Amino acid sequence: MSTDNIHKTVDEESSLISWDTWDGIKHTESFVLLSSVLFVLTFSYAFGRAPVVSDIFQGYHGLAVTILIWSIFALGFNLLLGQTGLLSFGHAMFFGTASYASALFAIHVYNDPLAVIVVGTLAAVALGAVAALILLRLHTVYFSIVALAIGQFLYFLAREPLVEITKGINGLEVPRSPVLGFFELEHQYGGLLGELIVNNLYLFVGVFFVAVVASITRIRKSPYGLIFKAIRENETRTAFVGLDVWRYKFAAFLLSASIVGLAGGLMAVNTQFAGVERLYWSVSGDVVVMTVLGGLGTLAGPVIGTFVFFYFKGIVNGFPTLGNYWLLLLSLSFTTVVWVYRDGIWGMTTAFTGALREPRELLDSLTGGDSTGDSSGGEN
Amino acid sequence: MTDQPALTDESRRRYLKAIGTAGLTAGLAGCTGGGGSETENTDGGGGDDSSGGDTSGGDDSGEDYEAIGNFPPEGNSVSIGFNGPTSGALGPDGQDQEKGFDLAVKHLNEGGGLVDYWDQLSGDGIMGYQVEPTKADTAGSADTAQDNIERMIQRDNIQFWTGGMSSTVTMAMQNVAQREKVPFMGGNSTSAGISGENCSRYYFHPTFHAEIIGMAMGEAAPSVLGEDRSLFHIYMDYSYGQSNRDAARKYLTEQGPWEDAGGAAIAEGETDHSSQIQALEDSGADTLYFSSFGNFAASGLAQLRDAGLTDDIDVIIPHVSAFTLDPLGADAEGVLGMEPWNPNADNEPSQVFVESYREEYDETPNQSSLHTYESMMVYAAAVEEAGTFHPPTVVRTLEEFEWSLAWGDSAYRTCDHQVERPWYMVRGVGDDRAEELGIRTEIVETTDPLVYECSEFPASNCAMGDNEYGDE
Repeated sequence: MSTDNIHKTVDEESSLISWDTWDGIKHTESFVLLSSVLFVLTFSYAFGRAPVVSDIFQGYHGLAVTILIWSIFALGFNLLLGQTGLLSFGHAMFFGTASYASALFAIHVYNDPLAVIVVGTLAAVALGAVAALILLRLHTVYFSIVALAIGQFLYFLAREPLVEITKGINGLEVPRSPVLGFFELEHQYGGLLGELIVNNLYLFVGVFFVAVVASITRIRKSPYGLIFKAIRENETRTAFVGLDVWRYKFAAFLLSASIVGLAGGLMAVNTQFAGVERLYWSVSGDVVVMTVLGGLGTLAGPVIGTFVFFYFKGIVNGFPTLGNYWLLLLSLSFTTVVWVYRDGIWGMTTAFTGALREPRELLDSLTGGDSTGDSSGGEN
Repeated sequence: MTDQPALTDESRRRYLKAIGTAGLTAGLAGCTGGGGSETENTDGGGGDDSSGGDTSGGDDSGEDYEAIGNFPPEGNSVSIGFNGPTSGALGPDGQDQEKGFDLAVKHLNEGGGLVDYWDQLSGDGIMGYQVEPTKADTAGSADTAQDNIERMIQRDNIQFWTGGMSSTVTMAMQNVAQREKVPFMGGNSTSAGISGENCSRYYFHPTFHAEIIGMAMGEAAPSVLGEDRSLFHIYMDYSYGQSNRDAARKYLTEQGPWEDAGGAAIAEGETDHSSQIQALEDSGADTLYFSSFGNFAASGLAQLRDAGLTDDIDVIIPHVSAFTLDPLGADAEGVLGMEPWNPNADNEPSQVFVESYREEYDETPNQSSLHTYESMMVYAAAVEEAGTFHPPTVVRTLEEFEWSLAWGDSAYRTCDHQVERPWYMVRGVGDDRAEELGIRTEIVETTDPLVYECSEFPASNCAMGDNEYGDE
């Protein structure tokens, strides 16, 4: 969680709720890096195996890996929507295309997870470059809808005409092979390492997760990232300052595409499968829900949103009776959170902690409830 | 994902190792052959019946076999999963599958229904282990199904699972079953690739697919509709429609007595069928093979009716199920199709099942409910016969297994794990008759148990030998 406080240096409201020294520390990049490493190290354990906590979450290791990958997806998406203000309803195109590219490369050319993921990412970047030429001429809703259209175009393309290559609705099976010939993804650890990360697959995905968090932080804190934000706030004015808006939007689009492509490649490696549903528009919709639910434009928001989304999809789904209503419950929670807190769950958390810092006696009674909410957030 | 589920839990892993070693030693000291182990297990089963503790149960199954996949089960219960589409477009059939699954769990644990009917089953769990169900909704998505099944394998320690409708999901799950060495029987999926190129040692296909539908049609349709027919195809232009069209062409016109009158494709997402209907009229055909399903079939049929064609032309929809027929409503009257089972099937176990299902849910079951129900029965019986939950042994038993329950005389083939059993040609009925029957179809013809040869498509694409049992 603490990871996200960083962005607040950039966010306007954050200055209202700063504790001098603490804020000094938490706004540094190394702190973000450290927190994301700690998060990866403890997440699977807390979610799936820790004594009390995991009994509450009822999580399991496999879902932890899925959540990390989708978090990368959501972070990449958020870079475009939250940071630059471009709402794409077609990000499934990068996710699915990268997934297919990875699978095809693994099947027909060379099957090393690292190479496979690089190919997937590059495929997404290439697609991003082409899509950007079309999309960046458009604004607001036209941008969103044409992105959706391109995504659906690729979906139908993969499903029917390219059935010889993609195997249509049946999908591709990706055999698993060790990274660089020796690093077995299946390898299970014993002892403390086994408790924390279980296997190399988790470590593999976790490294990419940390790398993505670190590079996004870098972008956010750089002048370059500031220009993205300027474009989000007022495109015309940014142009008047003398900046080439198109060029920056193009860069943001490609960055976002590459991160989403990375997630798509990881997904193919993780599930050993690539199917047409990853190109489907509902995937683009899911990632919007995750990002907005967690907190748009923040670093922790998309991760929290992804967690909550998959908590409903993967855990509540399995509850007796209630499980059949998981989608309804998810949408109710989404509506409630977004209605009350425009900044999503992360906005809700900062509002709580902000309130805690205010020496207002009125809130004393609430302190107990708030701090538990905060700490459970930390475990996420 | 392919983490060894057993290994996610440190303490459990040690426990398994201990059991494994103990079992090996015991095995060496004692008898060697499979016969000996069977008697031992029967003894153990008896001990469990008299509510023997978890250790006795665990020891029994651990004694003769090494731990593999999720084997052995922990404690004195065995976890079994349901992973089907209870929401989304395939929801109606998924919910029926879930009901069949729930009923099967109840009967296996407490007796009733086909458990009482079949000597193989005791009504006291499976081999004395109580069945512990765990369920999840795939919403028709392969990625969701994968997350779900990981939960069941890693956390719930399932020994077997069932459910599923969409072929995409089933195919993805076939691979998981093979990797994790957990046996799986599917639901209504009808892509030929399932028991063809994508076949898996740990998956058993309990229903038909386009190829078998075509074959069954070839046997049943000419005797129902006469030999002098000309057949036109309107099909959805992707694998579902194409494979059904091809199979019907092969068995009805190329190898059968009917004449081919051409066809017209429905593009993906196209809902206005007027051009296809025009082509049908122009062809002068008297029979239409309408390879479509669900709401698409319903709207297509309504358009045919509006064009005044249904009086003169007999319509065949390859695979009919609740999912296809409910949206059709009274329009279903007179439509012909194939079903893998019908509640009015002429055999005693079917009536036993229908009765107990009606008692439980106050409605008539359909093929979806029976798929999960009978799959559970067959798995349980195979475990009882093998005397262990040990997955490779259970799979080997299933490969040789023959039974006769509601599905009729049935057997899984070793070469592709496709079931061979009778199929039903049915006709849609009007509202009044549907009320009477409890379902929108009535049987017009029952085929013999039939399936193509192992050397023919799609079985010829199945390299079952490449799929390992895991204990070789």
